[in-house]
Amino acid sequence: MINEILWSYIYASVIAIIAITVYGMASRPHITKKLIMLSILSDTACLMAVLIGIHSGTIKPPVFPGISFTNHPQVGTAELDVFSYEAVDPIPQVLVVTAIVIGLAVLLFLSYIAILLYQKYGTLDVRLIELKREWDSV
Amino acid sequence: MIEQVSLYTLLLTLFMTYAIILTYKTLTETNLVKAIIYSAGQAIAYTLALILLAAPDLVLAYVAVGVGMYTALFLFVVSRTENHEYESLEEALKAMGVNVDE
Amino acid sequence: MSRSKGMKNRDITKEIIVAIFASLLIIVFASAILFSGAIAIPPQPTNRPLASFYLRTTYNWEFKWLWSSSPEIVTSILWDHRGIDTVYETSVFFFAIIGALMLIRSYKGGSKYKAVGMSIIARSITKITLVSIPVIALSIAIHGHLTPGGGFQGGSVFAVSTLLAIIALGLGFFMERRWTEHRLLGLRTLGLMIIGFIAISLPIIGFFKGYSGYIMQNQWKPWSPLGFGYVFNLSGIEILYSGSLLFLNLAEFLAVSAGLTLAFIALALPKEDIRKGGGLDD
Repeated sequence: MINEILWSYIYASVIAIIAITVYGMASRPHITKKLIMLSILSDTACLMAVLIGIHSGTIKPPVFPGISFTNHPQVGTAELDVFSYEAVDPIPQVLVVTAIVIGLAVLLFLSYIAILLYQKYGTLDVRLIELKREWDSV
Repeated sequence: MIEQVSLYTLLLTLFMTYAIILTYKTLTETNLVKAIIYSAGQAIAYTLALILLAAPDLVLAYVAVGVGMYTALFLFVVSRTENHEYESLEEALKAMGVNVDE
Repeated sequence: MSRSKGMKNRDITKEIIVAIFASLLIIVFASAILFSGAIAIPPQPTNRPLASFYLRTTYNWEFKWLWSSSPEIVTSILWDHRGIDTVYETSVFFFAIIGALMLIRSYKGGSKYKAVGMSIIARSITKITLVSIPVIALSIAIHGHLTPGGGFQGGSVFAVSTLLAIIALGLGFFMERRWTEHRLLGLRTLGLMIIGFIAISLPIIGFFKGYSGYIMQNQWKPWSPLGFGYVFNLSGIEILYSGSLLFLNLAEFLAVSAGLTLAFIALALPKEDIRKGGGLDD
């Protein structure tokens, strides 16, 4: 009973963080604050993908233990049965490594554009940029 | 009704609570340097949760990228642009020197 | 100015609409995930069949038709089973580096920066860690097919050490040693070319020999009998290099560390050089 309450709380907190960041991106007027919320949103989506892959009981990482450059015994089906019963799903972790790299690339590009925007308009507040564009086009 | 609750579940709920509180404080803070430091704390809470979920490749990638590079990147952006975020439009116009009295 | 009062009313209505829309989105999203069976509360007792298939066949010495000769399942899926995804991800990262050159496109580099950093205590400690962190990063990249790690993890740890050097030792530390943006971009392109060459080498060899090979193929398969091998015999000792995984990890380490160093050097230039280099004042 308490176990189910705690696991529901963990899943609900991930979804609550997604809700807070989406609201923060839409309602805050400063561009740097929007970039911070975007970085938190992409990291939370990666954490949720890893949460889907675990199972209850003993959890081990998906690496076969004890292998080095010179010590590699021939591993057969008997040892692999024990290994595949305890290890975690490796596929969400592969997709998350790719997602972290792409999130970093997008944020680097956006912050360069933010610096160039400040040089052109003198401010990074979205409402003031809107007013300046109206007044310049009159 | 109270069966055995493992230490694993308790630690995971503790780290997710840290993450929610720090995310909310990042949202409502108007001094941008403080908001960046709160987001670094939230990234550390995520690293601890990823260790518990048995993902060692992700821990190595996330510590270098999430805690180190994002904080440094945003601090560089703040030092080349401005530092304060104004909530209402009158305060922003007053800071730029426009006369707002009505 | 009657503009300000109109702005206040429009702000509150817009905020309410945004809040209602965001909460509706979240409720639909959460119920779709919960009722489709992807999440079970508490988590499910056994692995899914696809995960079990990958865990059983990646390092199986008795059935070598589907293996990738590496005990590290995540790296072998990244570079062998789903290798083309990783090639595209590396090229997406290249576009962010092009954005860095957008800031400094008419900037002529020079050695007029002196290495002025922080105090002497911070500088001495940073010089000590500047020796140990790149060694750890290279070790993470080389052992990427045996322990957790790989090319990208090692490259980002290396980039953190150059970030420390920029902040604590000053930008002149790199400008005196002539780390210009053209050389860093050349190193990054060299890493990408090595990855591309390894990717298309086996189909080309198979074309001249009459077999058919896959792009990013690693090991011998009965329907395309070409491969990179998996052990290297060095005077009686057998060294396990898992086919093309070792070389791909080293090339990715070179590409990622050069690219991220270039991105942070372009951010750390002083404001006047960025303003003159962006070309927005013409």
